[in-house]
Amino acid sequence: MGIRFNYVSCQRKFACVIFFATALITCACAADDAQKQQSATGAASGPESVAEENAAVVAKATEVTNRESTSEIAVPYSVDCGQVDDAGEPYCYVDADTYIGWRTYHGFCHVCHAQDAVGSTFAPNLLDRMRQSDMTRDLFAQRLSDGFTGQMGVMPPWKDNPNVSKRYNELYAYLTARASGALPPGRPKKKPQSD
Amino acid sequence: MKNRLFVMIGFALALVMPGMSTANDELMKLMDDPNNWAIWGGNYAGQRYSKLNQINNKNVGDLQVAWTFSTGVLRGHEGGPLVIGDTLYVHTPFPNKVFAIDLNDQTIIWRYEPKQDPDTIPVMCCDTVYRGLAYADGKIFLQQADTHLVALNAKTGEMIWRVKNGDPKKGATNTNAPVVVKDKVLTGISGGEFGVQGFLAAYNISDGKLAWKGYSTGPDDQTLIDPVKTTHLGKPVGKNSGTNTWKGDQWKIGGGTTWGWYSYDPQLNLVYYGTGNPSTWNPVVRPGDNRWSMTIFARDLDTGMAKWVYQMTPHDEWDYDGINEMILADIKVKGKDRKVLVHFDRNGFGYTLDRVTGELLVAEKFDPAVNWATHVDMKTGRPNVVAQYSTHQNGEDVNTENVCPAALGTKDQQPAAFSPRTNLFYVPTNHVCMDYEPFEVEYTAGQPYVGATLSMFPAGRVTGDGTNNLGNFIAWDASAGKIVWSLPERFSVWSGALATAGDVVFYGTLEGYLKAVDAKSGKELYKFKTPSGIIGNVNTWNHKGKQYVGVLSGIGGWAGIGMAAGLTGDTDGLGAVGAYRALDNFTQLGGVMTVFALPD
Repeated sequence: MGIRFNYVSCQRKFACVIFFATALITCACAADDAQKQQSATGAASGPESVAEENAAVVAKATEVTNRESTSEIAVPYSVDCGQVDDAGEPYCYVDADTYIGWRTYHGFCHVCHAQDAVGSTFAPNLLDRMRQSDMTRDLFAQRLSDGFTGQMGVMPPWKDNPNVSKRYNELYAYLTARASGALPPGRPKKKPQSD
Repeated sequence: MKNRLFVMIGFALALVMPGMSTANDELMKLMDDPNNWAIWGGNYAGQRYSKLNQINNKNVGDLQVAWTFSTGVLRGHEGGPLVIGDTLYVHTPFPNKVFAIDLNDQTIIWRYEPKQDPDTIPVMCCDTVYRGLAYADGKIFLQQADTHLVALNAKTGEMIWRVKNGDPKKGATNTNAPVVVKDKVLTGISGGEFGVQGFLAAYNISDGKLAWKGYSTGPDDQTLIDPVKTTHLGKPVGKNSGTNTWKGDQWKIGGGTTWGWYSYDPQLNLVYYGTGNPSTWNPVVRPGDNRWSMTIFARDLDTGMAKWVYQMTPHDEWDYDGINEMILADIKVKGKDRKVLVHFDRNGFGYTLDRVTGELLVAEKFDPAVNWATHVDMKTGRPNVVAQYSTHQNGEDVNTENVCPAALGTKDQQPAAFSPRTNLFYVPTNHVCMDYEPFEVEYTAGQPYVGATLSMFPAGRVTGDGTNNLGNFIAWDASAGKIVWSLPERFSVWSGALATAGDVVFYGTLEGYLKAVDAKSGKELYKFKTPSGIIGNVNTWNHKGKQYVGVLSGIGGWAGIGMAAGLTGDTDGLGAVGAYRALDNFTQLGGVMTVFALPD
């Protein structure tokens, strides 16, 4: 329930982004704080294996629930795992932003940063990068807009690609959901509208 | 023997036909002498077969490392070295260095490092790979990533001429090895993910002047297709076949890029190559067959005019680029001697065609996991698509699940080999499936134009056979369209194969092993772990009476992403999850050439 509350509150905050530029800063700060808190509570380094990551997800889900029941920190995503489809495969529901972020990521970013943002031989693991405390929402948007030259490679500026430049918030939601451990690897499902 | 005859007929023709350059004669002689490895495929037929037999299936177990060479470059190393006489020429991924190495003492005779715009890197889909050089007429031809085609003096490394082949600002780059035939050097273009209009171009080797350019899509004067004389499965293609299966002007950003390997038949004077995926990846917004993406082309070398075409995957819905190598061989099909072209497509079908007429003879799955089509209709040449796996029929914003193969194909560019001694083809393959979801995207020049999400996992998750390997190395009978033997590999097999007269077949693995297997039985005879994962091609040559086998290591390329498939997906029910732990537990980056020989 706490998760849903956050989802709604976050959506409201995103709505304000559209109308008030100043509100963006507020939103960003809130989200960054949430990130910092999550970093502080663990997952400082990358999971070593799928099994460990899955275990981390379970632990994290509990953690997120616990924390959210006692405080009201806005996170840019909402994740509801533990569903099972007809074939017995588990899946997670996510909010619309996180879902669109997942899709944008796997349409554009995955050819370098690989499936589920785990990194490839020529582009870094973004989960590790998102967990670093300097990765604020502002820096995230700036890196995407202007591109970046790293130790190994070059990321192109995305500001001229409308398919990506319109989706920074959604990408941020998806990647923070992944980096925090709330969202396991794989394809999430969009939470039904009526829910 | 057949092979030799084939080359000799070609050579004889070259002597009597007017207007032929002596460069061609020289190259033909070099290719016919197994001491050299003068072209990517060993010969124009792209067979990757050597007549050398000093290393054979009895003694290959004694193989040792003779010498090694670091390229100083970290990215994915595809392709392999050329050997002309006493000199070995080896290339690297971006920045596309070239080294000429003296085989007598392994010293560097000259090196060449082009200055290239680093902005080229981000517009190269899937790593900055480069598949190799071409030699002819005392020149080394280098196809740079930024599309510059360069002729270097083979003795000194000095630049003789340079020509620009495309515009990286619009997403056009190059990764292919050029090929020299007669007085022309052939090259293609990459950038299907950026809406580039693909083409094959022929430049004069003397001065770099463009001789002809045949686009994959567009009106007849651009595609160099004759509405009457150019045929598709024996029938004339008709007027403007490169535009009339596209909506409006979509053919202009239609893809059909040409980043694979090119083969040539000197007797027929035809060049063979394949074209890549139509842009965007989202099939819903580009109705029609999208001709001539996903097509095998046979073009006249002198004029560029297309003699025949065959579209393998009309209206691609899965990114099954048709660019893989075309292997030319003379084999019996259904009891009849045929001049064939054999092609292992990304789409999972192994095709055998009559290379004279373009008639389709065999089309069978070379991985039993392939499920997107039940079969290929031998009359129409069209695949019978299974509705469940049609990403178009399922539509935008619908996730089509468990499609086999994945977008990286049952086989990517890594070229197969053919042995005329066994009449078998040796094929490095992927064993990976995917979920695929098209969605709407806007086109902007120079920006990726993809429009589909992709997640990949081991094929065993779909077949339910309890396996979890991501690759196989197979022997294929192209006459019957049947797998003769299949060796499972933990990861995709992303290295070009080599077959030799010693009845040994070589290939590399992503963990970094060079492996030698028996050509008849597939029995593993030798393996050695090189410094990094192998996505390069295994080549062989002879120097001062000794046979050498050389291969580039250097993990990267699309394999650098593809290897992670299954590592991170939903692994429930698979069991041995550990099998999919990241490849970086097995190998690290780094370009090194390792050269093997028998002990003295």
